[in-house]
Amino acid sequence: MSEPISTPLPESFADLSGYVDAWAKPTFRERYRQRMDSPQAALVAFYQALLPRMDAITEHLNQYAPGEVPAADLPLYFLACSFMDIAAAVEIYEQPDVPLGLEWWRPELTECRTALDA
Amino acid sequence: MAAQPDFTHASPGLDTQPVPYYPYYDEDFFQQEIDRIFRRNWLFAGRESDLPQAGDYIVKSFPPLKASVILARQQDGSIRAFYNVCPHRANRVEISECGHKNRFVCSFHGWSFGLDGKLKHVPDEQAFFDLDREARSLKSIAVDSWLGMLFVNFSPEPPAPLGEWLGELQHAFDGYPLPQMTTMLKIRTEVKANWKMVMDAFLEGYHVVQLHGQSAGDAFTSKENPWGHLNSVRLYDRHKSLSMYGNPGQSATPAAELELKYQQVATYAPIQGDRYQQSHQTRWNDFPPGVNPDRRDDWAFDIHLLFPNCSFYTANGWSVTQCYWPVSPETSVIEATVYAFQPTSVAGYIGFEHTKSMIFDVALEDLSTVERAQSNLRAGAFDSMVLSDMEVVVRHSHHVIRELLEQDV
Repeated sequence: MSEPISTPLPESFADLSGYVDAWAKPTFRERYRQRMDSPQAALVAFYQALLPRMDAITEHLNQYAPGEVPAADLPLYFLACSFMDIAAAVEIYEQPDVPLGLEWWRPELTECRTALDA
Repeated sequence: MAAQPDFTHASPGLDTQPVPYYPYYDEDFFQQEIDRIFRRNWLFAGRESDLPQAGDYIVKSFPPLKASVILARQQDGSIRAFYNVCPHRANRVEISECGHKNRFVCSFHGWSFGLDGKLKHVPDEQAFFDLDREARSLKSIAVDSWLGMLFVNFSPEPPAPLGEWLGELQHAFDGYPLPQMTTMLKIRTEVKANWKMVMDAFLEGYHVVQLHGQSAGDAFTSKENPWGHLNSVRLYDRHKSLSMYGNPGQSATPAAELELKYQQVATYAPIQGDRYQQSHQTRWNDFPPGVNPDRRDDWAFDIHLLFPNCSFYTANGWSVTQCYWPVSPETSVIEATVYAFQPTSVAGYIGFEHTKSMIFDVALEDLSTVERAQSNLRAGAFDSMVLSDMEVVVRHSHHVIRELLEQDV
């Protein structure tokens, strides 16, 4: 388990600060676990808060090349990743997990490339 | 609706009878598969790009052969493969999964081997009795590459060359940009099911409407093709290919729209939209003949089963290999690797995050049925399965394996 991220969000994204503790997690597995551990209402709230802000977030992060996102902006990147990781729970399944699916913790997913890599 | 195709009757050697269950659990059948199929065919081991420089190596395990293999890039740029077994006392020579070395040193007694596998140094060598250094080098295994994919062959006799083994597929993908794609993610899953039980679950599109009814939405079905009938199949001596229908008018969720916008590559879409074409100048006629061979706009992707156990997916902008490794008659390891053009912006990675989570969710759906089915095989209710024309690839797979095992050795 990695350390909780305590860096505040850039000022123009202060409205999303309340989501940092739960969702600014650096790996897919931690983000997916958070999706599984969250009530559906929390997923919907996070989804609704992020959806209208996604273009602004990606525009802000696109000022950096992959591998050069400064530490101060990583929480914002991880929030955007979390949005993408939980979207199906809100848009498709209407529940956190995949109905009747294999237990989520069994497949071992290795992320070979992320925006943290050059 | 288009006339019902009849792939099964069009395939010489295939009947329409039920297919028996026993190859999914029988221990003798399993052992024969290992000895006569897995030990005699080319098996997917990784990609050349996993070991780009001289001295780079990867270590890959092959559960059906109970073997660990070192693949190492030589000084001359070629790649050689060796059993990861110390010729002295059988210790595993290389413990790591990958790295860069000039020689491999066994941690037990310090025997060392060059990149070429040759025995270099034996501590206190004078204490041995007529040590044959040549015979006690690392044992070689045949290795060759195709589209940047590495294959090894454990056959005790020199195997048919990789190109010959690929047959009709050898040149079907010339120019397909797999070597330019980056390995984006890997998913490894252990399941309590026969390797064919899992493989067969991925070799047909009939399950899409029910099993992926929510997640796939209308990506693989339409008013014109409500059951997602396959565009086409190609059944060869051992390998086979199928082309999945894709709905050109499919709808997209808000997150899928963002994925497309940020990444300019859709997850499963039959990508023919202007946005994609503008960025990649993709036209069907530019494709190699084995990719979307029907040149249809309502195409999603192709699956090519490289016999016996590696599914190679070709699509517009992404690719997948998925290998089904037998461990025991009723346990398997599934290894999927996803390749795509490396994102050039942070937004591209955020877009790919949606691809990643959709692949993961759909994998949980795909793998959900195999253990339940496996556990039912000997309940006594039935001893065979009926297969539709849309499951002809599953039928062909069972047919090929049975034929091979019935041949005289």
